[in-house]
Amino acid sequence: MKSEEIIKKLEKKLSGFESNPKQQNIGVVEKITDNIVVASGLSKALMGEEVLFDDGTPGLILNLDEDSVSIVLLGKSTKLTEGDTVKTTGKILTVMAHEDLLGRVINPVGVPLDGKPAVKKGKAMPLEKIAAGVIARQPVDTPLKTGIKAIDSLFPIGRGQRELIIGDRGLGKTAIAIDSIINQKTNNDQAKKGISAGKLKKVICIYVAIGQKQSTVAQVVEKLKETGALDYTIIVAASAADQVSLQYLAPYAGVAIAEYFMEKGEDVLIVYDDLTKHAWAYRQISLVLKRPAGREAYPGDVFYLHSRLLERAVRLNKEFGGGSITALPVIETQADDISAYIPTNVISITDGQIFLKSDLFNSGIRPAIDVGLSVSRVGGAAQTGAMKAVSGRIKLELAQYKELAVFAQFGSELDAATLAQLERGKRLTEVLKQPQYQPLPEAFEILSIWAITNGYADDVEPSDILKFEKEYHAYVKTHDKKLIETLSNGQKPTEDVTKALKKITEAFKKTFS
Amino acid sequence: MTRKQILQLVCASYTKEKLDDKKVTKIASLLKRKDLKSYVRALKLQEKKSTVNIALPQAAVYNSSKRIFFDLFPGKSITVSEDKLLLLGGKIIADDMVYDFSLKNRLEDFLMDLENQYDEE
Repeated sequence: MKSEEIIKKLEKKLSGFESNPKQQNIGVVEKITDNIVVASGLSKALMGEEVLFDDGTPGLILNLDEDSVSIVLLGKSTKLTEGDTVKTTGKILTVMAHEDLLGRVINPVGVPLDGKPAVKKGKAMPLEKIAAGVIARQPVDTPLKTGIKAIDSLFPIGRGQRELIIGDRGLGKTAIAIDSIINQKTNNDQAKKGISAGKLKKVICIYVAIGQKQSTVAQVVEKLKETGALDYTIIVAASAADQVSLQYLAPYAGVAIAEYFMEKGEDVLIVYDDLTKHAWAYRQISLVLKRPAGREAYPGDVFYLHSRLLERAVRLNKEFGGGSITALPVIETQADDISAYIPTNVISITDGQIFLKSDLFNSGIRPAIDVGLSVSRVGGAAQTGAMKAVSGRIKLELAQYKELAVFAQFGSELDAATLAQLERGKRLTEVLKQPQYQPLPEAFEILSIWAITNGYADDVEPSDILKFEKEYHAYVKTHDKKLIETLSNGQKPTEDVTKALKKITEAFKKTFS
Repeated sequence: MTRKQILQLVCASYTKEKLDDKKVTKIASLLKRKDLKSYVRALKLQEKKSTVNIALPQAAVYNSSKRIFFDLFPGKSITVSEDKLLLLGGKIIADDMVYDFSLKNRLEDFLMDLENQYDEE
């Protein structure tokens, strides 16, 4: 490039440049304890404002006192000492959101963790924002398929819903969330080709890891990459090794990025894994800030901490773009106790919960969903006609089975009808089992549930149900592709479809040994 | 001691808007260790509030514009320092506010603006 061209380019850029005498509010570091800095001065500072220290470390104002402010550090700083200056920036905390973030792993302030260059373009989205109001919202009416039979049939999730995944450690909470992300691939591929059932939009996924082990985050990234789900997923990670401030901000950064896509009319699925650790992080910050401690030493506003986050999950109406954010918060319980402080808080905020129980997990029922305690308060309205038609019976039969199974334990003689119900219940429980990372398309979920609830597997041993299901799916796939397509469109099965289902199932039964 | 009492002591430490050594020594000798710490901190803050620091590329410039600064900051003690890196203009630090009119600041702003434009491209 010639020197003249360089000068011209500079002049062009200079034309829009405005510089006023800089006014800055400064403070002096008085005390540093556990990543919390107390600084004097900063009389013009605002609550939640971003500040910058001498060494370039950013901070966030969390407490405003009469002649000092408390700042939480947002980066690692070993050079910071008493007497250093800190200046206000006049900005609230934001994260850059852009399509280029898809497939990336970042921390809550947008710093890449995957070794690739930082995404600097895009829109600066505020981490703290008031959730969309009543006028902008519309009821949940579109399904978000997880690919997990037990969930899609019994506790369906709609776009814009907040469904809590709750249970002890190691019961597969993250697995359900990851499966839901992986399952969006089919939907996204169909949406791309324009053949999605019910003209469902593609779903962008955001996985927020809060206080997780770095190895766990690496495993999740690897699994998403392996299944091709990372292409439409953004991972916001604040691992256990990161500052507690980043763990506190991670879910807000995640939802801020989600809002960027929602504003463009897209549907977003966001997983907060997990909010128990988020509450721990906030408790730690609050205790160091010397805020009054309440129950279990959590600060008084721990409910608001999660309610303001989860309220940002929304389904906007068409006037506001029609986008949505579906939230799957995860809560870890201790000894299956869902009546603890944080679990009850989050249960009351969300639109339902999927409760995983350790005794079910240990008896081989995976996903270990407790059908009795799990619920989806709004998802039923979003269920497709086809799924609704077949899942109505499964709920009833499972409930009857659970009740009868308790009586059967006493070993008294049972009549034929009760025995038949118990046998059916066993098969239903078996068919709801599903291996990890193998979400099923809705048509196949319908096939499995229909066959079991209509008694086509009553003569199959419960231990052979998974084999029956696998072979049945393969048979239908090769012999009646049209039926799969019909079931995929989500319409309530007509008489002809039911006839076709009966016909092919009977034909398969003859071949199954 | 309460914060209000400490602030009253700080006010009492001044004679004709100037810190009185004798009064400070007297008060300090009567205070407990914990209160003394708060008193010193409050005193420092008060001193900071009543002082204006002016940084100029050439200290000599101050003499010609002394009057302006006295009018701008009445009743405050003004200290002047030389900072050649400012190139032109000046920098005023009054309490916890910094007003930067220097050429250095303007050039830095320009550099940042160029960097931001480059990032966006």
